[in-house]
Amino acid sequence: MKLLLIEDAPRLRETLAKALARMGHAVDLADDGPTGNVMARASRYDAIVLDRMLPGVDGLALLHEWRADGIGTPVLLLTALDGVAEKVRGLGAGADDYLTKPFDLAELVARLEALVRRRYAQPDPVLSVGPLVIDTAAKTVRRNGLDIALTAREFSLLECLARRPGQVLSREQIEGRLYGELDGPLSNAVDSAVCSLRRKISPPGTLPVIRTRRGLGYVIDP
Amino acid sequence: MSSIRHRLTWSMCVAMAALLIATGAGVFLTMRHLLHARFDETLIAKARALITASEIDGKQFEIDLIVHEFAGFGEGGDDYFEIRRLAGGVFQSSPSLAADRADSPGIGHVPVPADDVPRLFNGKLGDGRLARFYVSRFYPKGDKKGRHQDLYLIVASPTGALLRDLTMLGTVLCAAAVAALLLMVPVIRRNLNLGLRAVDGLSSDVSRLKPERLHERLDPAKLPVELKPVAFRINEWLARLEASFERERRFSSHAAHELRTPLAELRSMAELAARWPEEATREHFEAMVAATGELGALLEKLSMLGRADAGGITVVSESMDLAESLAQPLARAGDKAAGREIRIERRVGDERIETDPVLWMAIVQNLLDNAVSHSPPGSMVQVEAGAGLFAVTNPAPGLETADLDHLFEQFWRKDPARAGYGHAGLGLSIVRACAGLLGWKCAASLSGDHLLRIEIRWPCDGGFPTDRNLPGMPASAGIRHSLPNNETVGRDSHGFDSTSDGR
Repeated sequence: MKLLLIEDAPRLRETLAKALARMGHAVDLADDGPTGNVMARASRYDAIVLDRMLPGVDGLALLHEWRADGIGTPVLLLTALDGVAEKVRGLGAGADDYLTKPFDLAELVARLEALVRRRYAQPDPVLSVGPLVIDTAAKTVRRNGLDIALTAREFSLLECLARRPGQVLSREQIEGRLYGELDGPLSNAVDSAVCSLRRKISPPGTLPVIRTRRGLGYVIDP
Repeated sequence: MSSIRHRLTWSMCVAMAALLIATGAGVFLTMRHLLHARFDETLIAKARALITASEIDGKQFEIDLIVHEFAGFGEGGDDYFEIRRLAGGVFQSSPSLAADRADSPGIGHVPVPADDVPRLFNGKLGDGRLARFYVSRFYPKGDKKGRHQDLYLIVASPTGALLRDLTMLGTVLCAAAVAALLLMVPVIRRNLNLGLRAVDGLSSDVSRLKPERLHERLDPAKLPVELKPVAFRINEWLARLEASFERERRFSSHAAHELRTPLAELRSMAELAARWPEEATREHFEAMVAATGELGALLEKLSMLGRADAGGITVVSESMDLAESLAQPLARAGDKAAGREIRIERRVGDERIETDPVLWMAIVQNLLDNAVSHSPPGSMVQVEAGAGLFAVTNPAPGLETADLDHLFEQFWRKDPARAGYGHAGLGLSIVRACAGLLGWKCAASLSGDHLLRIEIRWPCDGGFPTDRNLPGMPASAGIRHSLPNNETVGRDSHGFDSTSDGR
């Protein structure tokens, strides 16, 4: 997933960024409302984690503005305000989910994944692509009943392609979804990741699952 | 159940009934008195007519027969007289008492008059009928020889007709009273319903008020003048309740933010280190310790504030040297101020102060910390301390006059995002609470050039010092928000003399 995290508490922001990156997600960070607004409009994110009380522009005002402008990116409000009225206000403003601090990291990620599944009309966390069965919740991949061990980055790459079967994704698109702005990947990072993933999901003697469309990018067959 | 309508109905019915009975009784008694008086007048007139019409003509006693008939003393008449001798025996009697008549009632026994004063009294005729009697000594005209000087006259008139008239009058009055009472109940209820319609409306409006709809207000315009003050007062209380609830909501929301954010940080950092041990670096743990320290400091402040507000702190006063007591906090504040290139200008007198050292330090440290933390880098903080006053002045460019109303609120911060660490917005609340415990007054004022001045004053020489009796102390300027023991909000409110800098 490519995520935007808008949070003004530095320690929480950095910690979440590290944790999400460790789980294989690309995370961009903003520490105030105006910066977050610019970033949310400039890039396409799978989901946005938004704090309610932000310097510059209040989180709810930002959300109102996005929804009014037709920006439909799923938004998870992450806030210390735990009253029912506050939750109602948040969800009423256009938030897709609401999580109060303190929270469990695993719950945050699970909620974000659920938001992204809904966004791509895939309510089932289990994706079946060719011979592969990908459980996006349990983070497991099986081929013909056998588990395949993947790194977080490889899993994210496979999930990124599997969510768009038959659709060619360019290197830039994949890079944008796998790496945050601060990651600074090498120029061949995507090719290397694809190569590594291919080796693991398509052992010798089996049909390749990921195909290269020369000059265009990579595609996974349905 | 007590009901105004029920009670008013009953009380008005009882009052009206009493009024009717009293009026009826008054009418009846007056009429009875008048009728009795007229009856007596008639009786006396008849007696006088008899006396006037009697004379001794030759040797014969005569009474004009016309008078007999006219006065009803004739045969078949209903008035009676007898002229008796003092020694006993009837001398003359009216034809209506003719002895040969079978229905003659007879006068019966009448006491012999002892003097010449005429007397009226009630009695009974010989046949038992009630009658009014007139008795008087009687000296007939023409009695030159004095043979008839031992006579007395008895005139009697039955009162049966009079009593019947009075009974009829009483009956009519009673019937009229009962009819009026019966008609009065529905009339009173109808009028009460009309009169109480406004009360019913107000009651209905008030019952519709709910804690979750405190923004709603009653409409005094539709109420009668008697109920307008009620509506105004309820609206006033609603506004205060709404403000109080809003303050409570702000407190909860700010407290949640101040407590939950560091907790979330701690939990996330702990989870990160536990799941990916390579993240458990020295810096990571230092950040966790910093978060824990901030949380601890916040809880410490909250605890102090809670105890102060609940009166759970015992004030133990002792005499201290003012300058000496300020030396250490000023040194600490100076270190912090130096880091932000802020200069602290101090003017401390050599007085002694009688106070609780713990509360005094809480006031001083929080005021200094507040000033140093919120002043722009490179600016100057002024500290003044003298007899009965401790004041800290610092530039507050972002502060507005309206903010003074919230300055002492718990968790209030100018920045709605509540960004940054180490300032929860409790410092000035603690100052206010501690000053309140000591019986001191605290106030904040903002000058036109955005200089925030917070003053603490305590009794000195028998009273709170004012600007006038603080020689050399500059008058605090601008809008003032003062908080004596009982919180007051407003400009130049009680607690201090009004000051002006000619703005």
